[in-house]
Amino acid sequence: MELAWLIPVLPFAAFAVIGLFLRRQAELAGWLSVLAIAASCAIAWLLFFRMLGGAPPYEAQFPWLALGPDVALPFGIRVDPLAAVMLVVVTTVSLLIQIYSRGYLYEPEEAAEAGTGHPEADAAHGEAAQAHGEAVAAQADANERTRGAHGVRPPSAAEHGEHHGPPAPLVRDPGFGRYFAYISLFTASMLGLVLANNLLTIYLFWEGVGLGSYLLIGFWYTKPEAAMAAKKAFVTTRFGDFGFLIGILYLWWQTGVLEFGRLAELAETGAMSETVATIGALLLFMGAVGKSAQFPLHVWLPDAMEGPTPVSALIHAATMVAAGVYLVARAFPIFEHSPSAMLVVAFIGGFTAIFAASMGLVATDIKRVMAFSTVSQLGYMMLGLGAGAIGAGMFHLFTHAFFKALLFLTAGSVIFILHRAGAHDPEDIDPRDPPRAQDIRYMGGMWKRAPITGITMTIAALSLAGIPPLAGFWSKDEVLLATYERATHGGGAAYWLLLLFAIITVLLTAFYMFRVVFLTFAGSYRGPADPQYIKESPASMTLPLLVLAVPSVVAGLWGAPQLGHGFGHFLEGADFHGGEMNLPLALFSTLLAVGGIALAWLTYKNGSLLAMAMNPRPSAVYATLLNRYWIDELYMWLIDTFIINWAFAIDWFDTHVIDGAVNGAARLTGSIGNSVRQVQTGRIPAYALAVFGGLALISIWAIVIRPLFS
Amino acid sequence: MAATDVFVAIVFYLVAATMILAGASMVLARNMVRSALWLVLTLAGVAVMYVLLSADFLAVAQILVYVGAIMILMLFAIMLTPNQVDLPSAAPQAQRISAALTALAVFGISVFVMLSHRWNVRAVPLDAPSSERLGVLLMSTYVLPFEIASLLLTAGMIGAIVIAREE
Amino acid sequence: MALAPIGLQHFLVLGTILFCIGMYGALSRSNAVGVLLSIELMLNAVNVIMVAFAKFIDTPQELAGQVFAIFIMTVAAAEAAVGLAIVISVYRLRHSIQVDDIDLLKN
Repeated sequence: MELAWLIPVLPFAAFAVIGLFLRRQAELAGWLSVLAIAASCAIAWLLFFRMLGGAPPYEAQFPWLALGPDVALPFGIRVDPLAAVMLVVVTTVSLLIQIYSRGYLYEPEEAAEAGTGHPEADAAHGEAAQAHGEAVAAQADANERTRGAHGVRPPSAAEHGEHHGPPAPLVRDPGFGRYFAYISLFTASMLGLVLANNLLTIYLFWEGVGLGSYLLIGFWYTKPEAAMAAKKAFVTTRFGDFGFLIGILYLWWQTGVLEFGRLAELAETGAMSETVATIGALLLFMGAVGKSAQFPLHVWLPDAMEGPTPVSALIHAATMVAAGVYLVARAFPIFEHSPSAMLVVAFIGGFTAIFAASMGLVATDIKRVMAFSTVSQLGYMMLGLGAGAIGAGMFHLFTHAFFKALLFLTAGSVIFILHRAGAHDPEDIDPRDPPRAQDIRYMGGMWKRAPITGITMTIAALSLAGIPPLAGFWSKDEVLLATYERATHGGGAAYWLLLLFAIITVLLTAFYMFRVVFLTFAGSYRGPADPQYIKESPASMTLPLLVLAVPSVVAGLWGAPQLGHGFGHFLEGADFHGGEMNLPLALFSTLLAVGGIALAWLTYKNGSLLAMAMNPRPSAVYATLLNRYWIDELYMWLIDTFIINWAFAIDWFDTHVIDGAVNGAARLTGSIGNSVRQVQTGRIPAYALAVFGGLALISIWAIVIRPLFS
Repeated sequence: MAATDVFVAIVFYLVAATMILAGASMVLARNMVRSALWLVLTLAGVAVMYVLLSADFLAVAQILVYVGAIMILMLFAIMLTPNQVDLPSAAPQAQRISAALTALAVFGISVFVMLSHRWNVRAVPLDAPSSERLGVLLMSTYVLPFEIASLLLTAGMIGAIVIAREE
Repeated sequence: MALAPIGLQHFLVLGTILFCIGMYGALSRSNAVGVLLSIELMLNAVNVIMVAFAKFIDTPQELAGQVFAIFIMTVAAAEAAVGLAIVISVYRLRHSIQVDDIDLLKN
């Protein structure tokens, strides 16, 4: 237990070492990072099994900032079942993703981009191109037009190869070392966040996670979209963090404590009034809404896809977005103390679930579908928590981490394969469309060519859709059950509505997931790459896929009611009171899931509805979904109309009133000084004159005038 | 009125008139060399006054130090700053007028005080040469200020050399 | 007045006249050496008054006025030496000893 502090420190040390010394030694940086997280992972598992064996929670803290004799801000860690589960999930997923990244970050596209600033990459490019130059010479003429479109770069054999020849050689991304530094920082922050035992410490790491995500999403910072997305993610989550910070201050002001344990005591004994709990919980929830991309702050997550795909996997599965759910779980006693706060949490969660799922129906970017799915599943988690079942929410977080990581990594694998095969964008690509290598409309037929990716993605999709006995089924069922229980036990109409949302979401989820699966793997290839070069990814990528497939299947059994609610008992201990499985409900949701899959089959595999789905002139509903309900536009409009004008008003006030007062004061002083400085001629005779004149005046005063009046 | 008193009065008025005229000339002279020479005349008058005031040692010292040493120094300074000698050496009109007013005010108030104050005049004014008693005083009662004065002179000399030395 | 024997007041008034002449010179001269000359005159005027006090005033401190005069003379000598040295070095620096030009401390 005493080793717990090492868990975040190791990746952080890796970050520091890589950041300071190893940015150029890409190979070494990658290994160091993987090694550090592997060690953390081992410790995390050790702790986890200790906790499982019944070890008592471990807590350690020291006063960090002494503000006075009695007031000190604490810095501390706490290992309890909740933290142990999260530690295992985060370290394991992060480890696998980092291994995967070592294979993924060899993109031909990125190598070509790097050609402007990376001589090594260019040289490798050119040499390999020479090797197969003969083979493609015949095709060169046919590609005259394409070559011309490439502009100033001299045409090389490699470029023709991009279209019809063998794929361009793989070159390591020039930011390889930097990537591993960032990802170590990101992971370390998340682990620190998980271990934190008080609000201040969690906030510290919370912001660290925000910073890490900013750096990683904007990893390809030369791409304007990536830079924009990074900024958007940062600003949007900051919006929520603002509430979070106020919440921390508010709770501290009201109770004087920051530790979760003592806050929980206060809430449970009723020493904290319900009003305080409601306000505090809702403010904390603002932070969670931002971080976990809940409505209305969900807008950053789909754009966060601009980062490298493993980063998306990490953000979506285990780290960033889980932080919000984790925060609510950590501060759960406070939430539980306030029914209204719980209702808000549940409602935001339930609404986000269906809302995001509906947008996932039409997205054509494979990663974006995954992103909407994540938002939707996070909604589920929030719904579970809001329904009062911390076990259900956290269980879904637990299983979701595995199959969502798997989904992202398989999606990454698909993109990687297509890139490598040369799926390049046409020059006249619609700027609203995703790149061809990510657009599911231009995929298909990859089942045979990339079987491991295909099988693992299907497993993950089944799991997400909630087909028994895969992991997703059990956790989703727990959430539905919790909502149902709440609805039947005094929750009122609101919870019935939320249950309806959740059930519809099951259908939607199954549909959009299998839309992706069928469009990607079934049928024949529709994209620009040469199908013969579509081959399975390297082992460093498929291995994590296979490893992740295992928990995606079995992780749910731990919490299955038939097998004794292992997860719930572990997490909540004596407080756990999970009921039996509600068989009709489970059956119904399974049927809906199967129905969704079948509908996807009819639409996309069979092709009977394909034409409509691919219609270039979409209906109003379709367009609404495709444009994400125009929420982004709404925000932009709001910002343009109100914020900007408000800012201008403030600016005017600042320049004219505040600065006016300041400058006025300065000008007044200046003019006084100006008039007085006439005296300060700098001429010695004038000074001497003043001395003697003063002498004369004082003498006259003292000798002549004063005696007259005394 | 005794004969000596008449003699003293005549000498006093003559010398005083000379001094005042010389002083005024010194202040008004355009040429710095002339100005310095007028000052020499004034300072010599001061020496005469010292004699009248029975300060024989001071009279001699005045001649030696002022008329001899300091004035030579002044003349040297004037010579060493060529092309400054004949420049208009008076300040602007306003400055001069206010200087005159100030001087007049100080003069008026001082004279008023001096003449209206009842001085504690001794019955028999100091007479006879005072050098001997002055020497005894300097070596007894005032020995410390005396030594400090010598230190001051040394410091002044060294300072003058350092400041005026060419780099 | 003309009939009265020469007494303390005569010397005091003479000293004051000289002092004020010196003051006017010190204030109105624009040549630095001229200013120094005027100051010498002021110091001497004071000396005259000091010595006059020594002769006429009834005081236990016998000859104190003369001792004062000696010290003033000493200080004046030192002042003249240093002052003239400054004038010379200023002249070397700025090629002028007009007091209006000596304004390095301004700005």
